[in-house]
Amino acid sequence: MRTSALVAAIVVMLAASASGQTQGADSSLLNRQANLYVHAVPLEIALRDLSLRSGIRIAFSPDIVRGPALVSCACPDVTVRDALDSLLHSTGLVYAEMAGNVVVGPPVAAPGFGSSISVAGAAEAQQLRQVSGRIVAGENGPPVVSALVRGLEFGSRANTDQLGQFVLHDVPPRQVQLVVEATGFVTDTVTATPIQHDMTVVLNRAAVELEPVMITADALGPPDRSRFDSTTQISAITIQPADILNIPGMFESDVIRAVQLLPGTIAKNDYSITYNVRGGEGDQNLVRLDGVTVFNPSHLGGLFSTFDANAVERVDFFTGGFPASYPGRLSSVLDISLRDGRRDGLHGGGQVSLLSSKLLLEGPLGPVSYLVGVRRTYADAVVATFTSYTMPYYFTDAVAKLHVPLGSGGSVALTGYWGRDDLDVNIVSSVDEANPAAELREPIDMVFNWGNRLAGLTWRQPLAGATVETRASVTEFFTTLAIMPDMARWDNNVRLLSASSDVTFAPGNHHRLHVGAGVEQYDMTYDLLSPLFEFGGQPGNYGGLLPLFNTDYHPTIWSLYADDEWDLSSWLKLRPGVRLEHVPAAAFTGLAPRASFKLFLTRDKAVIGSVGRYHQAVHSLRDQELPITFYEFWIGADEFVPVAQSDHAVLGYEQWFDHGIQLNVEGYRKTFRNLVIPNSAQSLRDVGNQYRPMEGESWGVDVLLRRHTGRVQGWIGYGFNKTERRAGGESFPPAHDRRHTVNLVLRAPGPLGSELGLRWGWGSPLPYTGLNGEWSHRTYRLSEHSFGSGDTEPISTAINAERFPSYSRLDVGLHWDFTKWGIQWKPYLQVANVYNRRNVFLYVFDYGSRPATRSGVAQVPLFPTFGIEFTW
Amino acid sequence: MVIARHALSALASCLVLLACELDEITIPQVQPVVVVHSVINVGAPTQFVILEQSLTGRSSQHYSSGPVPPSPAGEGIPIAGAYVTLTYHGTGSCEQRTVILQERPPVELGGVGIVASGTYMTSELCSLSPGDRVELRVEALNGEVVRGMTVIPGVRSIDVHTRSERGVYLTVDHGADSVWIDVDPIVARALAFELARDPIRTPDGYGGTHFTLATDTMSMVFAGNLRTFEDADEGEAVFRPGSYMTLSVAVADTNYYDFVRSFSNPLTGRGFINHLDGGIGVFGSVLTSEHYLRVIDRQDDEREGLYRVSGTVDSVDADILLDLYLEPLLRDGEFSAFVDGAWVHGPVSTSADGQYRYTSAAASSGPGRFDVTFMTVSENGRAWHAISGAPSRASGPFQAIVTTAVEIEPYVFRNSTDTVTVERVAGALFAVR
Repeated sequence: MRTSALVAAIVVMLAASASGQTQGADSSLLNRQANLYVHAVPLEIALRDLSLRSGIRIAFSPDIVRGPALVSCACPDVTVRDALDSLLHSTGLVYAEMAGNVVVGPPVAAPGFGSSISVAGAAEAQQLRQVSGRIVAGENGPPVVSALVRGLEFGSRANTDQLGQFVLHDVPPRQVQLVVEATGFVTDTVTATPIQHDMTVVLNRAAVELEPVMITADALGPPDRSRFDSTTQISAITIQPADILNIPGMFESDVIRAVQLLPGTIAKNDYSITYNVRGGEGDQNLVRLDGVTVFNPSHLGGLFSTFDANAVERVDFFTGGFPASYPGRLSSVLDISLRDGRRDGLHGGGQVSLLSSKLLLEGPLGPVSYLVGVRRTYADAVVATFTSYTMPYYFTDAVAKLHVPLGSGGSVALTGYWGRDDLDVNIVSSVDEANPAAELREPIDMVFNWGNRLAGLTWRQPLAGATVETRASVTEFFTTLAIMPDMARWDNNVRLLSASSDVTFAPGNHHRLHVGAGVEQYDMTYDLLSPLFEFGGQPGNYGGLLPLFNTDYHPTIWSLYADDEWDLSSWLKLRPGVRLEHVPAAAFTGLAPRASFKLFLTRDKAVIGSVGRYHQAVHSLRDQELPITFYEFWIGADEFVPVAQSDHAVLGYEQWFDHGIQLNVEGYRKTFRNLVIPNSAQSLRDVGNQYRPMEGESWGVDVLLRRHTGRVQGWIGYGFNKTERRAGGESFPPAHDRRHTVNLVLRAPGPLGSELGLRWGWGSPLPYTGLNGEWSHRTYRLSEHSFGSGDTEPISTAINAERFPSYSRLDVGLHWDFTKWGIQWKPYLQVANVYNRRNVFLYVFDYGSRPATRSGVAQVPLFPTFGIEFTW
Repeated sequence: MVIARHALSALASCLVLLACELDEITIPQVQPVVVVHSVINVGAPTQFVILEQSLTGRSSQHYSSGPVPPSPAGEGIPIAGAYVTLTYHGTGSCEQRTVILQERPPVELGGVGIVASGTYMTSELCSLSPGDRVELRVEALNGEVVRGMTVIPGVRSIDVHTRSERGVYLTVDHGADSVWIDVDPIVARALAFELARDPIRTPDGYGGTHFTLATDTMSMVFAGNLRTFEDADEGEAVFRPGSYMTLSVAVADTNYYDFVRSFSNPLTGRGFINHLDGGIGVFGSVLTSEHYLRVIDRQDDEREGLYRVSGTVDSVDADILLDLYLEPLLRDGEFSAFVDGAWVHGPVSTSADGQYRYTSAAASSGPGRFDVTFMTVSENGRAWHAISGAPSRASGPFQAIVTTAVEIEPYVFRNSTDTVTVERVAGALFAVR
């Protein structure tokens, strides 16, 4: 047990009080009502509870009060004195009132200290200060997120935030030692002088980098714990690479697949990368890569996400109550941070699997670090080899990050991503099947490609006790569908130029203010061109030729935002905030106030809540009823398209248990206004009728029980949700209205020296629109004034009036880990849908036969995959 | 739409590779819906309404027997005994006049038996003017009522022209021309186009729809080298050189436009824009203008040009010219040709289809294969004529066999065979593609 100066002072003072336990017989603090009821809890917890319940600051060294013994006290109506007598009975500890505090310590004299020290101790208790600072990785390096800063001889602790900043409260007003620990870094101890209130700590990376999550979880506590301790942020979950890499699945580790397993999140089927959060639509989820928006973060209509899990440092997922600094989305924020490249030499890694390969390189270039990763699928070749099918599809993507240190602790990070899907289909063959050797005609091909590309620049600079972060980025989604040779071409481009700057600073001991401003300029264009056609003149507007179709949206969104993390007391944190958005194209100015609170019942228990308003000026026009989303068709607010709005109210409870076990329960209610859905009756020429308005509500409860440390880690997530939409006079459940969702994710030691990853999910039935017969949609012949035969088309029932059967799936994966030739190898074997459950993907009805029949297509069947990862 | 379907089907096929089928189960019958197909074609002597029941699993009997009318409806169960009226909501003496449509009698179909026609007709509808409204009311025997309303379209002018010609009869150069359509509407929601081979001057006597399009603009330009991109059409030229074609240009009301442009998504059953109350389908109106095209092209292949076919056919001296154009996008020698001259049953002016190809072994000088078919229509009925020969690149005229099939009654033919001489008399020389 270390002996701190503060404790020593208290001890001496307590010794001086001789056999009496109080320093003043008429002490008002000790005579206050305790309001305490604890049963079989550690003494530390009991004292914290007593402090919270009585409103009296009770100072003690955690090292002194910690022990295996549990205490109880049914003390709701007794005084603090009586409660302390009860709690400290047979502990050997005593207590005293000093300078507005009650201190607890051992009744032992400390040689060499006199009564003057007692006075100094009391003065210390009065003059506790705050030390803030920033932790960076190496000289001029990037911020170290989730580092732990703790007093060496006193009990204060704090974690760094995304900017590497921390605020350590209750620091004695003398020279103190602070211990700084972080994943993958050498632990450091630094000194804070009596007058020092701000510092920058440079950590050096550990020579041998161990698996991050193990160290983080076991030694430092998980990021979710530091968030719990230090912020009011609600509805937030952090996933680390180790979590993602160990979740078994169909192909490869996938960031968004992991997110889909969290409570509050619903994935409509195995094929869709789109997810719905707390009743929201898929386009209401903001997905950001190092702060840059990604419009359509998926490949192959959703089978793969665009993010290589090996390049990711951490993933923060907010299902509600997200901070005012995030630009407009109604339902969630998925904030993905790429790793900085390593500085200790050239390193690399890769993966070879059945369907794709990827390679990642990282290292230093002088003071700069870099990370580059590329990936390509070869499913087309695999399918052709093992089946009679042709899969005319592949995708490629690449990600890169440069980190450039600047002076005074600043840094610049440049992030880039490029990904492209290619689907080439022959529509008209150049040969006839009967004589494939002879070329008969010029073929007609459909060339279809789409993808994302982005570049983002982030400049962080400490400045006069504050941190200024400035971002500039360009992000683009592009798609081209062409009928070749040169017959028709469809282009859709969505580009966002954005810039923002914000400042984080701490005015006073109990506030952490975050203010900023930003601008987003969207350009969304849709063009359908053909050299073979030209159209012109609307009815009543004779003449003038037009392309087949074109439309565009160019909303600009100006924003101002501020929020304040306010430590009102040691047991109550508030976070008022506001975001002001102005969208000139829609003549919209909206104020979005937000507030959250955290009321600590004990150090490990808190009631949490949040209310807020959210705006969204871009929408996706797609048929929400379709089981799969190819990609989003983005449109922006203008004089016809409204800015969507959602109000959130969240109330919850969070508790942390031993062994890093977290329990989070949150109930929520959301409203949705000014949503849009496609208007099937739209005219290509009538600007503004491409959509129909929709509104709705949702409410539900999310429960997360997660173990962050130990040999067995993972979570059980449960979500209850009820969602309703209204459009066109109809009220209906949306296609993602799943009432109950359960997901179990486990990581544990497996057989044969492996590490076992397991994922089991169950979902109650999802709605779908049933079919109520078929009809022949005949063709009318103008020249003959008669009808020919037609295509058989279904007749639908009410929207989403039917429900699929429930969903269930178990995935199991085994990873091994060994080193050979200086390379760390990780072969793996995964089996998706172990019990080969035939989850319904879609139904196919046939009312043209007698009797009518229904068949369908199942989702992912039993699907084993294997591969190997390697790093050096 | 076609593009989107291709894209989605391609993607779906990729996904289906990873999926498996669910077991087929029997599901209960559902209540049928009245399906209505009716388009008031302004200027047509008769108007009609087709009534069918939607498919519900009650019957697997559905058949396509040709254009309806005259064929009976059969892609659902034809509805018999319905009370069908059209009410005129225009001005003048016909105001509020209601016409009862008469059900066409049942028809006997081979292999099917006697079936209700499902078709209700009238020729007593008032003269229609732009902006007039016509209401449809259908009352089925079971009491179901379907209602619809259409607004009659109208135009001040429909102008169809190429670079050099304007009017009803046009010559279109496949490689160099475009077809311009400008409509000055009085009342119209959309334009609809239909391009078909002239049914009389085409070898199969049917023509078939070659290309259709609808747009909500009032002018349009088609490039002469427009090509179909449906696999079933084999990527052929829309404007086929050597053929006579009919271009129908129609102005249409909203109901018709929505009927042709929308369709129900096969997964969700939604998407079709239905303007009927109590049923599904269309009750719309169009005003159609017919234009007749003669499609030509550059003749720069040695097989293209003018051929003289002469000899005695069916005991008659025959002497015709074939103006032959290779299909510009196909490479198998497929061609069409204008046919003019004196033939078996008198003067002929029609279009033929054929194939003129060289086998690879005979590409330099050996015999090729020349096959061409055309149809003639005379007071004796229809007759089909097939000419087959084996021309050589190195020589001039060649002998060919003519097989004539005269339709003496429906589906009954009298055949004869003769020999004629085929000689190329004009055209590009040895400019082989």
